Amino acid sequence: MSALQRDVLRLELPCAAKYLQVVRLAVGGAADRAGLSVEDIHDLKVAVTEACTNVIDHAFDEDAIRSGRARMVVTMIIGEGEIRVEVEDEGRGFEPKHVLAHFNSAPPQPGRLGLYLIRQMTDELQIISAPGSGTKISFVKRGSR
Amino acid sequence: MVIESRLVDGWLAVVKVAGELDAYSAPQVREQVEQVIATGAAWLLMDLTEVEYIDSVGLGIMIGAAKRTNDRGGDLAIVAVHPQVLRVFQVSGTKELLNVVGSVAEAQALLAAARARGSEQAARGGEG
Repeated sequence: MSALQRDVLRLELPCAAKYLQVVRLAVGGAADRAGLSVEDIHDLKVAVTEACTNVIDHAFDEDAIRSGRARMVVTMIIGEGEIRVEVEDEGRGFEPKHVLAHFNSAPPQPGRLGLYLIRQMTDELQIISAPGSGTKISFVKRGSR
Repeated sequence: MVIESRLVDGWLAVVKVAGELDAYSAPQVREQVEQVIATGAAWLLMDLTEVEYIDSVGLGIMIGAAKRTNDRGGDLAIVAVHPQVLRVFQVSGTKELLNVVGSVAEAQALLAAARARGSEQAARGGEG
């Protein structure tokens, strides 16, 4: 992203599907502040929802979710005509190469559609994770349409 | 999330969904589709005209429903008009696979034609 002034918004929330719409509203608003088009904002909403859904489905065990210990953090870094979104958790983590080997496949297989959509709908994608060390997935969306 | 289902002309099951189809609303939609398919429906029209958001979770439900109807010699068609929804079908490469069209009339015609072709083939098979 450019070195111009960037506003940073941070949203911490429980790992619960009922908050996915809240995440979309927040990211959509932030992307609007970045000057992205309605179409680009649609793409970004899908990408962030997929990333959060992965956290909800895979990052924590049932006990952590039930007790409220399972949380995720969505960070939005607003630039000029672009936005970076980061979705972080402190869950079980995974070996990224096992995932990266699959999500570039075409046509995507059911169960791997989420990462495929993130990849297709954003401009940069980075996954940092290791077993036992949580996960951070980040992507940039630049205004294009 | 609003979901309605009905049977048209005694053979076509129509499930109409309105709202945002994500991991939160998906269980409701999945259950409704399962109930409709459990009645023996082989021809299914998913009316997503009033769906404003869909992602891989919703796609998974549609792909599963298509497989189930195909297994019974039927098929699935989807009506979608919202740009975000169409974009997800397009990007995922499922638009053609899932018979995504722009109106209920178009979807009904598509499934009626497929059903007629199936009946003709069955009749020819019976003659042979």
